[in-house]
Parts: sequence; C-alpha cells; structure tokens
Amino acid sequence: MEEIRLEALRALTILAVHDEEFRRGMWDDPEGTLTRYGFALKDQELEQVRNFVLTVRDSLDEDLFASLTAAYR
Amino acid sequence: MALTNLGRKTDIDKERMRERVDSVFASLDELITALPVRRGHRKLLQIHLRVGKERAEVWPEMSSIQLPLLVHAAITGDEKPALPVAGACTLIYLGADLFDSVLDHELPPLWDVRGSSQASLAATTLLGALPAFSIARLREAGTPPERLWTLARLFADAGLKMGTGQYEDLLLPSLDNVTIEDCRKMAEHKSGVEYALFATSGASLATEDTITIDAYTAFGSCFGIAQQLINDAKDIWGDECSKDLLNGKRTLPIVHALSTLHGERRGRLQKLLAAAHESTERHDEVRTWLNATGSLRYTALIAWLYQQQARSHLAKASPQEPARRELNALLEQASLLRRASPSSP
Repeated sequence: MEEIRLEALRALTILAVHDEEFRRGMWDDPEGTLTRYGFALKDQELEQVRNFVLTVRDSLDEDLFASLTAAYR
Repeated sequence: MALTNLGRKTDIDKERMRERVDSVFASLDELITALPVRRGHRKLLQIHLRVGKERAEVWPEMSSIQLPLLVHAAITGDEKPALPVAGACTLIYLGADLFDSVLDHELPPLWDVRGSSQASLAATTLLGALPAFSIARLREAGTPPERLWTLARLFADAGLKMGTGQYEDLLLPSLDNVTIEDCRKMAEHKSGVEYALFATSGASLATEDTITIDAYTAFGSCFGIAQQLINDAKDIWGDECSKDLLNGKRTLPIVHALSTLHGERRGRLQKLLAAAHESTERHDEVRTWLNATGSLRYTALIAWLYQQQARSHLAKASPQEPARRELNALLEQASLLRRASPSSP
C-alpha cells in the first residue's frame, strides 16, 4: 500500500499535538476535519488515515488494553 | 501458501534476532572480562550485563542490538562489521536503563543486595567509558580514524541530548502547566535520540552519504518516539501498579487527560494523581479518568503518526533486502493496536 507522504504526516502530527479542535474533529469526522484544515490527501492516503482513526475510535477498550500486555519493553 | 511463507520468514527473522543477541552479549562479556578493573567493579558490570541479556532473551527485538546491525546490512548487505557499534549502543542502553532505574527507585532484584550507589557506579562505567572501548575495536578491523571520530562524536552528542530528556523527565512533575508538546519533546529527547543513535551509528559506519545517514537518523528518531509513547501507555495500562503514576511522572496519556479537563474536574484529576503518587490504591481510578478522556486512544494516534513517519523515512533510505523487511517488521510492533493497522506493508 502507498505510504502517506511525509509532509502530510508531519502536518497531521503538529496539528494533533497543538490543536485541540483538530484532535476532537479527527475522532468525530476525520474526512471533514482533514478537508477543513486544507489537506489534499490522495485516495489511498485518506483511506489509511480514516481506517486507522476509525479502528482506534471503534475499538473496544479491551482491544487496546490487551495489546499493552504484549512482551515488549 | 503465502501465509506459510510469511510464517517461515518470521521464524527465520526471530532466529536471526536471537543470533544477534548472542553475538552482541558475547562480545560485551569478552570486553568486560578484559577490562583492567578490580574484580568487584567488574562484577557490578556483569550483573547488569546479565539483566540485559535476560531481557534480550525475552525481547530479542532489543533496538540497541537490532538497529545498528540491520541498518548496516541495509546499506552494505553485511551486518558483521557493525558488531562493535551494536555493542557500544547496547552499553549506552544498559547504562541509561540502569540510571533510570536508580532515579525511579526501580532497580531489578539482582541489585537488591548492592544498592543504588553501586548501581550508579556501574551505570557511569557502562555509559561513560565502555562504549568507546567497544568502538575502538573497529580500529583493528581497519576503520579509518575519521570515521571512528565521527562515531565518537555521535555517541557524545546523543549522551548530551539524552541527558536533556532525562532532565525534562525529572522537571515536568514539578510544573503546573505541562503541555502535550512538552511531553512530545521529552519523548523525542529520550527514546527518539537513543533510537536515532542506534540507526545513525550503523549508517555512519556503512557510508559517508549524508542523505542516507540523515534518512536513517530520522527513521530512528520517529521509531523511538513511537516506542516511548507505547511504553508510557503500557506503564499505565499494562500492569496493576503503574511505576509512572507512583513516581508522579507527566507522560503523554496523563498530560492529554489534564489538557482536556477544565476547572473543578481538572482539579479532581490533579488531586487523584497526587494520591496515586502515594499509593497504588488509586491507580484504577486514574485509569478510569484517562479512559473517559480518550487518552489511550490519543496516545495510540500519536504513536501511529510517528510510526508512519518512520516508515516513510526508511523507504527514502532505499534499504537492501532482507534488512528492509526486518526493519519494517521491527517497526510494525511500535503500535498500540493488537491488529495490524491497514497500512501494514
């Protein structure tokens, strides 16, 4: 699968760290939020972001917590 | 059939990782045995070498071992010349880990009868003196002096920056308004710098091409930040007793939770964190608050963004096979999702 462009990842990280409205928007409406903030992602890139956000948002907490017991440092 | 092949490749990769663990620890054991120090001092170093080896046997993915060797192989096709570099990186990892344990009052049981003073002495020796001895072995292999000097500078720079991260780790609990950016920077200065060193040292031994070296440095940095955030989450949710909560640490999940709350609710979480600093009895209550504020999910998001950045930097470096596949497999584990995210290669 095509990787998300580095400049887009950097911009997403900066916004996710600094912008509270962006953070909330990413959980409620990832596509709309990305558009409002001026991202012009390719279809495959958008799909990756959307899939990840929706997977995390819709995961049962147990799914996330269970991964934390894996034997890495 | 495809799944069978994938499983076979994973088994082979695991076996290779274990072989690297054995080679690096055998080389360090030899180095410590040959040191001109008193037997008691040597014993202290051997204790933590044993702690490290036991950990690597459970977790052969240990980055200080795998990254320098794999990055060197990704550039030259051969990992063996980088063994002294992986040894030096592992000494840095073990020394920093031991200092961390002293500061956080979390010394492994093997240190019980010796105490924190002797542990500090071992950590100082592991961090300050031994990496240079390991790097010096490259001279016997014909590495030119300029490249040895480059490596020496790399280790010194990383040591200084890691000290900055450690200082921030100690400072943040005493500050009132810690931001998410403060936590991100701390992760960058702690594990980001450490992983960047592991990748950069392997690359700097392999090539003088600065574009390639920079790509591996950025790969290591992003990988390390993602791993630090995962460790922060694992500390809170992975065990009943959170060491970070007991030590009053301000890691990303905690700071995110505080940043989403205002007024009385923020004050209540702050009081709860103060109580969790004193006793494990309130840890579950803290977790409930952090769940309610979506802090685990937020941490998963930021870790994923750094994991994706690391993947992108790695692709830019055009690594050779099979090291490319193995580096991507290591990176794949830097995620808070049990199932691989849809972007898995």
